[in-house]
Amino acid sequence: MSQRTLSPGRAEPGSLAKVTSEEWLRRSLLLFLLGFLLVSILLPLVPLGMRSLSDPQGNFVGLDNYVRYFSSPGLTSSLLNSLTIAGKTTLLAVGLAFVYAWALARTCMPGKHFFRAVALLPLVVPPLALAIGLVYLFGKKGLVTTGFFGFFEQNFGIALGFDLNLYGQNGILLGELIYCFPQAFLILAVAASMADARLYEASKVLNASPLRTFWSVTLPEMRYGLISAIFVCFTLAFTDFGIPKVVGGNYNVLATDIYKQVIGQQNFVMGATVSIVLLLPTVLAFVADRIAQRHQNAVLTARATPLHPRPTPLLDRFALVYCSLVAGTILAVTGTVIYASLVDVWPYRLELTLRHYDFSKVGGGGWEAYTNSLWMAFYTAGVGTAIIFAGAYLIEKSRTWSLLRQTAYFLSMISVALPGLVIGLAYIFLFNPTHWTLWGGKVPNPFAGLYGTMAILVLSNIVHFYTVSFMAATTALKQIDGELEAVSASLGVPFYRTFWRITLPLSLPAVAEIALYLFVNAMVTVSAVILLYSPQIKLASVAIVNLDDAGDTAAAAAMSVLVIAACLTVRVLYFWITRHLHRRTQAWRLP
Amino acid sequence: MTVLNPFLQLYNVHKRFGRHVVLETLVLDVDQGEFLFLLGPSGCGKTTLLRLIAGLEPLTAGQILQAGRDVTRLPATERDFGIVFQSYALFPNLTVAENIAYGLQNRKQRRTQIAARVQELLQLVGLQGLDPRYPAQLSGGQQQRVALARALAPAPSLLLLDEPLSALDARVRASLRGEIKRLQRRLGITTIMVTHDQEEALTMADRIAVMDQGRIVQLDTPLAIYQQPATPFVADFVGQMNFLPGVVSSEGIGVVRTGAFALRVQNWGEDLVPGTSLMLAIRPEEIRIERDAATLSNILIAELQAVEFMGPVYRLLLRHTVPDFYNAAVSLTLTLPRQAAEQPELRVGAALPLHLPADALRVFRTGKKPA
Repeated sequence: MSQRTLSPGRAEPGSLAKVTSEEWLRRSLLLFLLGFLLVSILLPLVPLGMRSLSDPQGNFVGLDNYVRYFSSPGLTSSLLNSLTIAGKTTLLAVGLAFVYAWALARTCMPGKHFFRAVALLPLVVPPLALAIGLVYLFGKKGLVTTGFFGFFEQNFGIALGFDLNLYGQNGILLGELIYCFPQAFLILAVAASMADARLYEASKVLNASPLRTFWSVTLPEMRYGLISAIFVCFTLAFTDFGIPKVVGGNYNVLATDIYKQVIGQQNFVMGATVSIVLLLPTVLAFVADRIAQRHQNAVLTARATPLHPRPTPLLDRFALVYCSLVAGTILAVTGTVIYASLVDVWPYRLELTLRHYDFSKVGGGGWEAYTNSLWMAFYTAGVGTAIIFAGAYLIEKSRTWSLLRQTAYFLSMISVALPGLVIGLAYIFLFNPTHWTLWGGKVPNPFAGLYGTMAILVLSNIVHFYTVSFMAATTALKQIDGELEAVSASLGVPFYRTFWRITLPLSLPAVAEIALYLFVNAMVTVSAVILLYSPQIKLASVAIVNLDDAGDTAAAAAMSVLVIAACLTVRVLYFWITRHLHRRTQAWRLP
Repeated sequence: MTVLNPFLQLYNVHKRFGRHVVLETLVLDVDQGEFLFLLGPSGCGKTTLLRLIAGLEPLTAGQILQAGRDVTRLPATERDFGIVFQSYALFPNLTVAENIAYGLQNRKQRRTQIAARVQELLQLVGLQGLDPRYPAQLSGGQQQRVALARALAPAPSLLLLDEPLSALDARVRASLRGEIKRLQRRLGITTIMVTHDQEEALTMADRIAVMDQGRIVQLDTPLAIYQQPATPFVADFVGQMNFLPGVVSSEGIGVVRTGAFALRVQNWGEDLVPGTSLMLAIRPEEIRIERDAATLSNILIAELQAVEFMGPVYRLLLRHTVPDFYNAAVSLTLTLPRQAAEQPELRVGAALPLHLPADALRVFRTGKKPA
């Protein structure tokens, strides 16, 4: 009997595994990730909150600022306006997108690829450009307002002019609608495509009417998509800055208030207070969405059979007309921006010219700002994808330190609740001072060197768009069998080698998608960077704001077109590269 | 059961997830070159035990020795074993050759050496010429052979198989069974295989550890486990078993009364006092249908309920009522070769005299004391 040679082992759970150098590396990386998330996401909120509780001299005043805020009617009306805009936009955008997604997934209408592409087009258009398009269509001298420059009046004697009364609620609503539509559509299109044909067959066999089938099968299976879409649209419309800035007129919203307080009046204290007011509903929406999604079990079981729609002439025709109307609106607004950027003097001299693309006589930074934006988007995509994917990998595929990993996961998810302007202002408070005042003492700010650099712009973008990318990475990683890691370990292969040779190649499509998402958003975003850019590093999206402010609307349109062009080019490049990738490194996917 | 030359020794191994006990404290020695099976229903802890041995899961308490070396605290990367999973877990983006070479490239071998080893292994598992294919281009059986070759490539001293055949269809499973067994014999590699398929365990194992609710309930050779199951659970889980409730009779030593019938049991424990309730067990193929019932003892009359055609054999479902036990009907199953079953008297509803040989009856105590 050999057991006599054994001593009764009674090791404690935590001390069981011998920590190898490989494990130390993994732990260091996890610690580094947690540190990064803490500094870039959580820490900046501390000075922001502190500032909202202090007077301009830095003395603690409790909730005085909030009392002042809620007793000033001018400011509180903005809160009401923001809520109104967000509520109406959510209702309309989700409703429109729901029917659109349903039409694409469940009918046999023609041109589905085209309509899908058009629905996603606003994703590559800066929200500001959408607003400028609206100005050229519905503004004082707009195409629609003037009845196509009096074209119909002159030729047919009928005045077709129509004044939408753009500046104010109408304009913001229309702009936000186009801005939020593709986001809602993306979520709902996925939900609509996950139908289980067996349920529909069962419903048919049981003689349920199409309406009853819709209520008892379609709606429940799209429930979680709908909830998600509602929260996403609400948050976007509630916090958007670009569209109200251009077409808001005297209709103030929270986002423009923050901008005015900080940039216009240099009132950082009130800016911080309004930021917190802006932050609370988005955090609530985030928490509500998380709770709702927790109940989501797999809607689609492994045995579900996909639903193939059958032709229904009447329904298909309705779907086509409906989608054409929506797509037409999106194309009209985008097309108008391009057209306006080429017209000599709108609406008097309609000759086409490229002179608006020569930015030398206008402010905003011109081509240099554009180049800066391209670099910023490029860095954001490169560095952001690396950090986010590696972070998701460490969280998803490690087995040690589960509390630390849960914290990192939570931080990765929470960043979506932070509006761009809040990130921008919080970063000013954290990174601008050369010294931090802590309990009366002064501590040199270790991050002071970052302020006004390209690095802080890139960092703010990565944080701003962290969560969506992180979720895409996590989903991709979850699809990789955990036993692959176990096999690698059994073969004595260290985890970083398996990451490089197996995990990363298997996730390449997701990685490319994340990079594209980060690039496009860094290109079009204005809210975070408008508070952080320095005169040395001007940006294209900020230039659109400033050009529009200065009345150089045509130049603003031209800059918008350049931004759209960059995003579309990258999108096409992405398409081409992924197809190429597919053929080379994803050869294994083919049977 | 003593092992002469233990290669793997588990001493007081215990595993909890939070407060949930997955493995009760257990002791297990695996012999050098042995093919040991962990057999049990899902949730019995067999896969957890395998993962503990592999170092993929930390133990809560206990000690593991492999080739005399304490590996308890070592992570999987530092241990010496190969593993094959039910899902194959092949790297889908690597070719067959790259998959097999994956564990070799880390060991600073020369490329020609690695290529030669890969060819050797392809030969071993009978997949010559398939090296440039991707896993998705192979059948399930071929994929599992690649997984086996990959696990064996670094020449580990221990092979762990986690339900490797369960995802395959019946015919492939049967042929791969024999192949794995031959391979294991040829390489002489100590192997532990987890399965819930008792047939697999019976045909392939040197020894089987039958597991239930986090314990090893019996550890023995396949034949011993089949013939002398230690508990009713083992008897029922490994092969089919008929159970008959009975009471120890005072009519003689080794006599059990079940209803109106007295049955003699050969393998008798001495401490069974008359009046003790117990459970008799007999395998379906051990029951005989007798024509000359009067001349034999150990006879039981049961009513034929149904006859099922199973291909080479028929399965007969019978019912026997035991008045003493609340008139509970006891179901009996017996199997007959096809020729023997095609008799006119075997019609549904017929009362058949069954012979239960004394040497085939096993006794399980039910724990009830005599009334």
